[in-house]
Amino acid sequence: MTGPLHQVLAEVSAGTPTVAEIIRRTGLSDDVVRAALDHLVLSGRITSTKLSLGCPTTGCGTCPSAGGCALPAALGARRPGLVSLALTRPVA
Amino acid sequence: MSESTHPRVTGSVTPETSHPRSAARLAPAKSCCQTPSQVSAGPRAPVVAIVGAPNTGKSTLFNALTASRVTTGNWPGTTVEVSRGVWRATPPASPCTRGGCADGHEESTQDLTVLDLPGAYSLDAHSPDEHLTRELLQEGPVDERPDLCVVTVDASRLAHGLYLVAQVRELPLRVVVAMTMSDVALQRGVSIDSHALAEGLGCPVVTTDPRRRTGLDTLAAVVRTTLAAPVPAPRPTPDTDDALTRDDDRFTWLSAAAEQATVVPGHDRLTLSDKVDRWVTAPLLGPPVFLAVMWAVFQLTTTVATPLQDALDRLFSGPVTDTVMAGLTLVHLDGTWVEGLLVNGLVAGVGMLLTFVPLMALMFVLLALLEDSGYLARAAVVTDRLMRTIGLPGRAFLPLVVGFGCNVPAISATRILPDARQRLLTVLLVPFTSCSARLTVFVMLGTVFFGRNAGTAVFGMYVASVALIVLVGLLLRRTLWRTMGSEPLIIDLPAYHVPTLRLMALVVWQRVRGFLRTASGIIVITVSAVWLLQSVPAVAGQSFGHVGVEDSVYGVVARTVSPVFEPAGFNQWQTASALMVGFVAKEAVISSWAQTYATDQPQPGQSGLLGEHIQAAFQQSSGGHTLPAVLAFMVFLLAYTPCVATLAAQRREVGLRWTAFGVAVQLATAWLLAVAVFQVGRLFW
Amino acid sequence: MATGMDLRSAPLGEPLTLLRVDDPLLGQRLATLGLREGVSFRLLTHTVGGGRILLVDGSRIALGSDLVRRLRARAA
Repeated sequence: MTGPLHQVLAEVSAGTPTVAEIIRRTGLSDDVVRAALDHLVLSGRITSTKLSLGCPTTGCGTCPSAGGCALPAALGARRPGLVSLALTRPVA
Repeated sequence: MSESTHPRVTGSVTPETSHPRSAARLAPAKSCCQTPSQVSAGPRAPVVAIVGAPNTGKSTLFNALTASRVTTGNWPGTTVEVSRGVWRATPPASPCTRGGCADGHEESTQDLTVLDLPGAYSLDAHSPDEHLTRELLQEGPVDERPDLCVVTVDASRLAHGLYLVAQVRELPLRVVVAMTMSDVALQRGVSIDSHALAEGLGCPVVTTDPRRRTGLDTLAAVVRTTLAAPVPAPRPTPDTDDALTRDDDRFTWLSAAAEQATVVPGHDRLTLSDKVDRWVTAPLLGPPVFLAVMWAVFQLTTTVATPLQDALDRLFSGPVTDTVMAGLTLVHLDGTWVEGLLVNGLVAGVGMLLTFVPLMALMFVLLALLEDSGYLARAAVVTDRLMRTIGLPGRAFLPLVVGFGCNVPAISATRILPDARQRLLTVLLVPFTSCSARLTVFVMLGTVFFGRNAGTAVFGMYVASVALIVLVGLLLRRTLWRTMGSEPLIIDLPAYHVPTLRLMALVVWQRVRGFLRTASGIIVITVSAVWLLQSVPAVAGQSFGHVGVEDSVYGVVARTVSPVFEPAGFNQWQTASALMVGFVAKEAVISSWAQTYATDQPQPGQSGLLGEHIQAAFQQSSGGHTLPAVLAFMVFLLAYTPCVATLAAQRREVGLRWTAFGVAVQLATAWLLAVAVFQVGRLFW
Repeated sequence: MATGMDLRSAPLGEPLTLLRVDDPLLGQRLATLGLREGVSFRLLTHTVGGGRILLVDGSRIALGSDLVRRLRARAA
């Protein structure tokens, strides 16, 4: 039985590009996916790196963070920004 | 990690007295009915700890509960700040019946010692704050633990707050959840059913707004009731050492509780959108509504934009050309090839490009309007069945309908299709929709050759256009896209809403700018190239720029090409020349004839001398089978490449290779059909 | 295991529970729109060509006639 944490972790390790996409693919609620991501970052299973800010020249529609951003609120910032999430260690 | 928003009354607290139990022990025993002179509710008073993630209103709640009966200091042996106060817990308008005073007096107020523990997202001890919270709730001696734990949870980020609840519920503790920020959640369109949440969490949930001091009485009542009851059984946890599995168990539990409790307003109520949908997508009424909307789009793109296009056209052929000519006269270049290049090449090319701008802008506005208002999704539902026959989803109908006005914006409109292959197929089909520029040629030929039946002939062209789309669509699908399955229709219907003007303006501007940027080059270059070919003499004794079309390179090319059209019955070089110009723009077909036959362009509705020339030409080239030849010509005109602007738009959407493929398909289809029409037709006429 | 009824015969407006979708790929697509096995939903209206609009978890989803035939539900 895989719970939300395993599902979200699997999506991150599968390279699912955006939080919105993770939400779509897992069918979990936005709130739970974000909480799970925050938890995985805090417990050191994934790392979250803030990327340089700035809008893509092609407009907001193509911005990977258009569907919301992945920066864990628990890490201090609630402002939308682009972050890259990466696995700290392979999933057992 | 304490919250800065919290106006604290800071007293001097020694490490000794800051410990709640020691403080309580040191404090003089007194009845809870008296106002305490120190910040302790007395040794027998229950201890309530408030925990919660940072920014969940934890300290605001603490302040609201304790008023000014507060001391703040570092917890012994740590740098973590803990506030302690007295909460005079008064339940709403009912006498104290349970959890009353120790001496048994009927009392409506119970004093509780409240601890404001530092903000903690979990008990996982990632920070000194979390470490202390964990120590106090989990690892300390049982008799030192608080009697009850109030966990503040932000309703707008429910899952974030519930992780701590999950952990606290695993401990032998009385737990009450104080849910804050419900107003924020509501602004985001989410409301939390506190009863459902309480059921899921196995502990009471109270909605409070400490800033506005609402829900505090209810919290007091619930806390007192819970204190009077025995400690509930902790939440069972999986028997595992794997941290991830353990954490995941908490998430499974919390997401179930959150899902059960989250209510989207209007969730079960039928909205205005639902009522509209009952009509707009209905089996009988849906199609007429759709046709009416499409008719409006079609009318607007053609009728509203046409005067603007004409005005721009007049501006370029009039004042702009005059200005350029005057400039050339000043520098004594008038009458030279430079004049030809500038006036007939550049100015004409740029003019043609710009006449498309109002049309495109209007088209994009209408598109954005349909998309943003939510109607497009409904139109896709209505047309899905029909479009499915050629392997396209319902929304592909829109670009095709728009194409009957003008192919150029229609190509751009294919962007509403999410799937790249469907977009490509639609881009390849759009040129077969009979645009209004082709209509002018059809009308002229219709009046010249069909007289009273002109209307029927023109209508026939529209029918042929629809048939062509279906046939070519089926053909391409059966050959190139055999693997393209028809996906079942699943569309998330957004609620109807008034489109945002600013957003629409932005989108329209971006699209028009994009069109200008990519289409400008190809249009100006092609128009200039035609001028160049018409200016270069192919026979001796003529000079550059002063040559009749017949004697120019262009004329020679037309003469070379024209035999190709012999099986279709229109192998006159003038006709071939008109078709070559028609490659640039269909509007130019009639003017090309006028130029080659050296007559004036006829006024709309009258064929005049030009008509006679054309009639004679077709009669000669078809060997007497004039009508089949004209029909073949009209079919060719319908099916071959609409104009260079369409090509520019296609290149922008699907790239050069597919654009070239499209041109090949168009020319092949046009030629084959024209030949078929003539060969079959001449058997009858 | 497909019992219950297909959506063609399901009544409008009544609460329904979705049964298992046999095609895993389709099931995944539907799940992303909140249509998972066991979820409760209501049919709102008939659409052109035999489709339905259904209300699930606050969103309205239009389904084509082929899906209306394939999905099964029971009264909740």
